[in-house]
Amino acid sequence: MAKSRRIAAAVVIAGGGTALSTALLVTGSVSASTGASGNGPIVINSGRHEVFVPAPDNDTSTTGHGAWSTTQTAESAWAAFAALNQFATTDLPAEVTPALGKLTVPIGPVGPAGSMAYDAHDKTVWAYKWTWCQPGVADTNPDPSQCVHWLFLDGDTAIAIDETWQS
Amino acid sequence: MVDMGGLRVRLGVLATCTILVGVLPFPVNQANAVACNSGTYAAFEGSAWQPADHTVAGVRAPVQLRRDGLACGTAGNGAVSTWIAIQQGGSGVGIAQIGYAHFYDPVNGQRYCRFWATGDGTNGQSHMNSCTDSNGYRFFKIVRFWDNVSKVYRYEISDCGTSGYGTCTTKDANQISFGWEEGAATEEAWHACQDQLMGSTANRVNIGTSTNALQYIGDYGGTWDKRDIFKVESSTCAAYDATISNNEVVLISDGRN
Repeated sequence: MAKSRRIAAAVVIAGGGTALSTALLVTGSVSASTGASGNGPIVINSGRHEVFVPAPDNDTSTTGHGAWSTTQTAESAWAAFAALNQFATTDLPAEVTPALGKLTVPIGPVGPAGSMAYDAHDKTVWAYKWTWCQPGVADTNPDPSQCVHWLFLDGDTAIAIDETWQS
Repeated sequence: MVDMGGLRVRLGVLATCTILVGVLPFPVNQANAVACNSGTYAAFEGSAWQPADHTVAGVRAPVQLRRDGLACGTAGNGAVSTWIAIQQGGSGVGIAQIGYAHFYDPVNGQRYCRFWATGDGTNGQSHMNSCTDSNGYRFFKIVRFWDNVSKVYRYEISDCGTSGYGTCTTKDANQISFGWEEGAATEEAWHACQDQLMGSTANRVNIGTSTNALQYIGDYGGTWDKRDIFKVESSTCAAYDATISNNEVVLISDGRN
């Protein structure tokens, strides 16, 4: 992680504030990679350009993926997160679907030379999805069963990168 | 959100009653305002700042979390949140928002998380994280800045930790500023939740403290200061209450707690 010099140069904070992101800064491409098998990117948030790219064949094993490999399994990463969050059980619930892939989560707008600050850029993650509408949305959604909630955990550390509802 | 989720906001003033629609997707009015423990609409208790020039360039406050309640409703739709925001005035639904939320996750149960939201605060534009905080205060701020590449103003939404504003982490800096800005520091309950996140009459949940007040920046380049805020109350639930102390602390409670 590096301090975002691009943000520092591009913005003037009202009120003299100095709140600068501790974020990954990438110059050049702002798009996520594509799975080798052609699994298409899943746009989590189009406005924010948050994208998840499933690993080839949506394989949830941890071997044989090369760049897709992680030290955690889907179950172990979930168990670590569940323990930290004091869930009733650390077992991966049947309602939750895991997937290995790459996550890109921009923080800021595109800067000079296409640079951008990221929470994650092509980061190998375990993604988990389950049916859950954002509170309030469930009341008006004609088919709440279509609401998708995502949790993204670092594939090596199981630390949460983002949790959100798919737009 | 929780408001967490994003919240779209709409303000209107009806005598002493202000309508505020936050992170969630439809307006609240007297016709559909919730009664206690019933209904499906959001209830808001808190405060707002509506400067005459429609310019709010920043908001910051320590926001209190309490983890000792249960979200009501059914799994998935219950939520209570405490947040600060710069929101779009008039009929707009835009919001830049950050705070705490208590969710009733249908798979994993009760969860207390930090959250932030942009856009209209609905799907894909609200994010939850760090659901392991203990009871206490956390400093959040939202500041408008000039994006010299796109040549537009945007909002930087920051989480500044538990000891002040000296070290902050930007959660998002994408949201383009609203032409008509209003400030808000509010608690939002879905399905008329009775929830300790809202505090009790004897021990209210605070946004701001006497030593670290809820503060706003007015026009661009202005300074942080407490402002002439007013009470926001969109619910018919008499158990909910919000009071404002010295224009610097918003104290919220649910009398049933």
